[in-house]
Amino acid sequence: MKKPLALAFCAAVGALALPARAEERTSPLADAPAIRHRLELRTKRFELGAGAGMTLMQDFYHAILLGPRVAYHMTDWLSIAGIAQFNVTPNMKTAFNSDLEKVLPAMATPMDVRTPTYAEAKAGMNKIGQIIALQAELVPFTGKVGLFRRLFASYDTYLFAGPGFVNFTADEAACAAPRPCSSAVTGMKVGATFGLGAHFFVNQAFALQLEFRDVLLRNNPAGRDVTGNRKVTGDDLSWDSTYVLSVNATFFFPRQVKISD
Amino acid sequence: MKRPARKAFAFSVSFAAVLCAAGVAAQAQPEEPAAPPTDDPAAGLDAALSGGTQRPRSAVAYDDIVVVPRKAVLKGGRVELAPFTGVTVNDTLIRHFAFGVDANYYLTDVFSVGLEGMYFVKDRTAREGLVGLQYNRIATINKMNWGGALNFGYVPGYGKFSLFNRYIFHWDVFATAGIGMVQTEIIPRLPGAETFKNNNISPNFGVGARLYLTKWLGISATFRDHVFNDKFEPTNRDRAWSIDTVKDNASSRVINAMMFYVAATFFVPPSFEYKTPR
Repeated sequence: MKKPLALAFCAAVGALALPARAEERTSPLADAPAIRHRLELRTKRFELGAGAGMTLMQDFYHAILLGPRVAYHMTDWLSIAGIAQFNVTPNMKTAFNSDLEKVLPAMATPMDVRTPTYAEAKAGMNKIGQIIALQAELVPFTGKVGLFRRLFASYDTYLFAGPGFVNFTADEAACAAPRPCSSAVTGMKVGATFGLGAHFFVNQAFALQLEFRDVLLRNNPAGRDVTGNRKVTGDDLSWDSTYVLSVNATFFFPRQVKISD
Repeated sequence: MKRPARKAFAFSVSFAAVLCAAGVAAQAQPEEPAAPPTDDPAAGLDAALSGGTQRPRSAVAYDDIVVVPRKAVLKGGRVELAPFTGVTVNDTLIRHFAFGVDANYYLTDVFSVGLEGMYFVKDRTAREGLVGLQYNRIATINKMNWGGALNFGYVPGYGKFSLFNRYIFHWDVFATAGIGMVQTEIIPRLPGAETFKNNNISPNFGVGARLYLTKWLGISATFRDHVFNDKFEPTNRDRAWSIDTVKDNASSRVINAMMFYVAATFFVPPSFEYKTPR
């Protein structure tokens, strides 16, 4: 009885005494950054570009916008930028606007004061004149992409936020009681802008930039009663989003790029 | 303890002590690879990595250093299951939320074929609610009930990015096209009136991007446009009409239902093997 126990004890001691061969392998790259000798395509560089954008999900008028973009990249991940975009299609109607034109009467009906004529309805619809934004940009992701295994580009994606300004215009600003009133919201309105974008670097000095933006401000796109009191007042304003998708061609200065360790 | 057992015990303890001593000695002396020849590039590489100073070489593994890493995820011969949710993005009056599943089989690493099925939940927008108040009119709108399609996919681009220069993530972009069906139903202007449904043949086109979290798990985002010719309630509908008469007098319009989807993607089988040497 004691012999087997003694043998088992010895075997256990012997096994434990064996040197630990299965030591943890440590890669020589364990503490190294993920990318070495990385092109710092943004650090301490100015960016100047221009491009076009278009609004999305507008109620009455689409807008195609043209304008410049200026930015300064303080580090590879932080920058400040400004954009100005001008609407070159102020009369491009949405499908909803075109449908209203078909169903609303051309002439006023004296007995029906609740139904506006199309001209009265149109008088209340505002349009985007210009969009101006100042924004801080944060670049969490940088990388490389290959298309069709032929075209390769460095890219970055960024988030941005800042104050946004929209200058609204309208065909007419009219409010003639007792018929249903249209009073377009016009002038420069201040709100917030935020969104995300990406640069695709064709070479070290030139990039294509894509940006999706929301400008959030208080607006009444129809310029008509919203609260149900049959008047158009400040109470009819509500938070309204203006979505813009833009593409820009941008140039970076100076042309030389720093390379990381 | 009897004498034979005592002898065996003493032998075992001695043997164990010898083994322990050998193990300690082995751990004290780091495992050194064979001294490389002077023109061995690995020697220079090792020196460069260590910043020129001699680092403890307890477990140097040169095969951890790969000049050109392989693609992190291979899709050929695997099935992708992607439950998704989505929302329409281009309708002023009515919004639809979609819930469904995509199942794709990757014939190669870039080509796939699959099936998609989804169910819609409608949500009238604030703008639709104001049409009556502001224009004294009722909007003519349809709701989508369900959709399904046979889709083909192609992955033209593959990329990777670093997060804070610490972690590397892999992603790809894909394009899809397919043919299927979307069922819609009129929302009658007079509440409670009888409705009719349309089963519309619908081609669809889309682009998207997929981020790989592991070898078998990822998340994707897709823009897809479903195009179909839909029939709407006629504006001159008479209450006395039968539903067949209403349908015969329906007005038709080509609809582009553009949707944005977000999906979790699961690859089956969860693992794969590289067929080429490293």
